[in-house]
Amino acid sequence: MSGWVAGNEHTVIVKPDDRRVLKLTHPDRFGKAYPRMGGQTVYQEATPLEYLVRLGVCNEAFGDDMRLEQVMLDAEGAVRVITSQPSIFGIHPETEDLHRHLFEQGFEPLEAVDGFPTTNDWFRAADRILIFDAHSGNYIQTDNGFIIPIDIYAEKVPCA
Amino acid sequence: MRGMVLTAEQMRQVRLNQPPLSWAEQEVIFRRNWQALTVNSSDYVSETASSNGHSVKTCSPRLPAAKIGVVGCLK
Repeated sequence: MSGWVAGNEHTVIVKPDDRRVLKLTHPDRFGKAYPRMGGQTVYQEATPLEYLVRLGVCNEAFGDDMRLEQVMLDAEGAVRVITSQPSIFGIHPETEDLHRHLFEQGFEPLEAVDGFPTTNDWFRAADRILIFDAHSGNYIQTDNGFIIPIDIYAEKVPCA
Repeated sequence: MRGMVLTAEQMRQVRLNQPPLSWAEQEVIFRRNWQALTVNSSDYVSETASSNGHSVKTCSPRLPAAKIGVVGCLK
């Protein structure tokens, strides 16, 4: 089988019966958040709510179907959020192809040198979608050549 | 399709129209699930049943952290 769905912030379990994957957050960890303070984007650990809002943005902007399945306490009393999303199979795209795809989708890199993106963070002004961690490992290229995000950070930036 | 710009709805259709998995692919999935959920096989209780000519082995994890991970093994 080529390609696999995986991420650093989850344990990923594939359900072969209905072709969805279950994703468990690591104990008391809910990914990253990038709030803007004083005009600057800063990094901090996300809250469970920020994590779930992020998934909702991915559903809306990228046609994903992430669902909240369960919130559980593990044996140590730590919170783990369990979600599911459709499994998708293929290969990780080449970085050059991913960048072309992002430009075609209307995104612009937040940093670039001589037109070449030097960041994994991109913004689409049309619907004010900001994405982080948009690297090859978080995308799948299907046999048909479609490039589909599977595990990116997305948020909708409110109008100033 | 290189160069084809997909809308969110078209991306949704790509996700929902993935080809069905073969038996061999499902077995690979089981093995990956097993690795993700457990340190060793003693963490699981196994049961075997027969369905439609296929032997189906279900594995129930003992560890609390893996309670939701009831997965199927197809042989």
